[in-house]
Amino acid sequence: MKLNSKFFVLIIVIVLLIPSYVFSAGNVPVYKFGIDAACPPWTWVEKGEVLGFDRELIDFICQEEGFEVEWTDIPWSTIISATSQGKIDILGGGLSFTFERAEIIDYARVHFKIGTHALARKDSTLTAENVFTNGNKIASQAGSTEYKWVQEELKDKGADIELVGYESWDDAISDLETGRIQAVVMNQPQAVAYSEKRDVKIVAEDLFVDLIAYAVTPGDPYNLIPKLERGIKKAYDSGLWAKLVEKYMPWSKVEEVPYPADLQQK
Amino acid sequence: MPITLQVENLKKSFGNLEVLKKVSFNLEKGKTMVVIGPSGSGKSTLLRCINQLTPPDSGSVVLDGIELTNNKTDLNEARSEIGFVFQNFNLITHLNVLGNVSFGPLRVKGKSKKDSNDIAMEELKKVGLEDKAFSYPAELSGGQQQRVSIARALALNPKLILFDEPTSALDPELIGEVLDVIIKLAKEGMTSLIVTHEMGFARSIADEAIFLENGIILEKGPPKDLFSNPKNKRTMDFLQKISQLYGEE
Amino acid sequence: MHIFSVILSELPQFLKGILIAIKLAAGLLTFGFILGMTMAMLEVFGNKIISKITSFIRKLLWGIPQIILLLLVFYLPFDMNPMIAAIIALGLCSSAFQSQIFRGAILSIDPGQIEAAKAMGLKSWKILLYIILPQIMILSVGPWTNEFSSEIKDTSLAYVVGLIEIMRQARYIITYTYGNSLAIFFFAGLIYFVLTKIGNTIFFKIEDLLWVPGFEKRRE
Repeated sequence: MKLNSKFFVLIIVIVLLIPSYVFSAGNVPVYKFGIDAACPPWTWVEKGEVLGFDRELIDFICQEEGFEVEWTDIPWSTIISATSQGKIDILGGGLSFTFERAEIIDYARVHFKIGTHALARKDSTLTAENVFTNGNKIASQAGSTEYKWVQEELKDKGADIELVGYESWDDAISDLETGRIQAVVMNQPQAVAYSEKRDVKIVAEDLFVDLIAYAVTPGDPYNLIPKLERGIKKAYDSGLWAKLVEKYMPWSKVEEVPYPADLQQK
Repeated sequence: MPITLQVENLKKSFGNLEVLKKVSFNLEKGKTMVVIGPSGSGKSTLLRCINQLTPPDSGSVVLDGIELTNNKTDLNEARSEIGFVFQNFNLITHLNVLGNVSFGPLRVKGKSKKDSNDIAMEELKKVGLEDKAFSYPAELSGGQQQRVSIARALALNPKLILFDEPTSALDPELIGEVLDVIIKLAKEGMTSLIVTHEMGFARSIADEAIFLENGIILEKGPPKDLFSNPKNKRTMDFLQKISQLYGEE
Repeated sequence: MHIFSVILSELPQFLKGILIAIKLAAGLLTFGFILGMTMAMLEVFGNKIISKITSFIRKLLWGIPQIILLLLVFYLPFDMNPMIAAIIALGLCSSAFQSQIFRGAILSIDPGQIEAAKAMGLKSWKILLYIILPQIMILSVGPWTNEFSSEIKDTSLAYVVGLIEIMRQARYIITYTYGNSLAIFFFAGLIYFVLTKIGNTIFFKIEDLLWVPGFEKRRE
């Protein structure tokens, strides 16, 4: 019966496809490096390739310390939890250090200090003095340190603003351009990039300093923190660090890294 | 004449309702027995108890020496020796006529596709429908579907065929073609047990007739006795009522 | 216009996302098919206890949002390939819907045929294979096409477990081109529309091939 033979052909085809869904690993240890891949200049994906500051730095560290990474893209809202649970081995891509986060993930020493700026539409008349007043809608990426700063240092302290969260920086910038919101509080590297490429400008600078560091699963089961810190130091000593800063964040100072651990003590 | 079917003390109740109350009879090989009686008398239940579609509460059914009521008997094996023609035809909807009739030999008896189809075509010729072999049940009239259903039963080469009111669901003008087929089978010596309301047909085809009322065989005998000279008053009442409704034949 | 040249040059990336989405859809639909068919059979033919348990599981899976199921599977305490995790999570949801479709199909099969098959001495598993299953197929193709369309779109949720499907690819492109979100998302939407249309056309063809007189035709 024509029904039966079609059935079996279908089943055979499906069974043959199954192997292509599962892939195998190599023989150097491979760790999952988690990023929310749309976060320049740390990481972004162009034509299928992960590019950016973190990409080049981590490639270098991998070579020096003898391991490989698998770039894993997880949305920011769940990425910290994923690291905490061991679904991601190393977390980077512009991760900021906070004491709360340090309770659920283990940080390596800070390797970058960046400022935070506020962006407004290019034709806006807002200034650093009046941007956070007048019931203005201020936006930031949900779950980020920038968002938390606006919440705790402005809104909770009585500033006359409305705080709006976005899943991605792009969405925030788009809404800023259409005028749905008045300002976006964003980390310096991305703020500079957006101010160059989109219809937005920086109206307030250096609102606070963010500390950038890599983090791993609590307990550092694979002993990755020493490797990362060594790798960062080697990058600095070899001059690679200066090159990368010049390439990706030319407005930043080149300082000796990684920074001392007391930066992360209470 | 050897006895094909032996039914002894068959009892069946549904909840509080006792439908069959100790029914016993024998059917000889090659003979046709007809069961008549009012609605609710247990006629359908009787047939279904024979091939265990409805297992009886007690009593025995023996087909050609094999006791169907015994749990140790391979029921499927036994059932493949009994043809069953349903009132509502019950053809398999997604198969064409050839597929339906060859289904028994192919899937139940495990014959080859070619053999099954050959058998099927032969039976279809017997019922006069070989030109409808590739039609689907939905495209046939009720009378045609029932004839296919008879061909399907025949394809199993059964020892016995049970007919459960084979024409009750048909439009009047289609009844004749089905009855003709059944009469032909009876003449060729197919052992048959037929439940029917068609009195004229019953009288002409039966070797023996049973009048079933309220789960009991009130009367049994050759048709010329039962139909013309019923001994029991209730039989007479029933026959009169039927002839009023359906007209003398 | 600039945005068109961007989209054109990014076509290979979109293609990668499409391939992933198709793989995911195929995987989850198959998983959902096997599980859904099993649940439908158990619910209709199983004894009272099995039937009740299966019914409960089905209603549970029906009621949980897919995102939550994705996160639940993702956070299970063992390592899992994101594609497999997505297939399992979305497949579980799909199985609930598919089992409803199959259950409806089984219940609309005329039980008289099954009686006739029994009366012929056909074993139960053969009745299942030769009578029930083929008819389930014919009766299910129509509604199943709807489920297929739905699941193609649901693949966009798999970014939560790290799968780079169509929507994620769109995000990447928006980010590094500092580009026009509206146009790129619109294009992504277009992709889903085309995929759904192609799939539907295939299934309508299948429906036509399977159909025999005696069953309802969905369109004409």
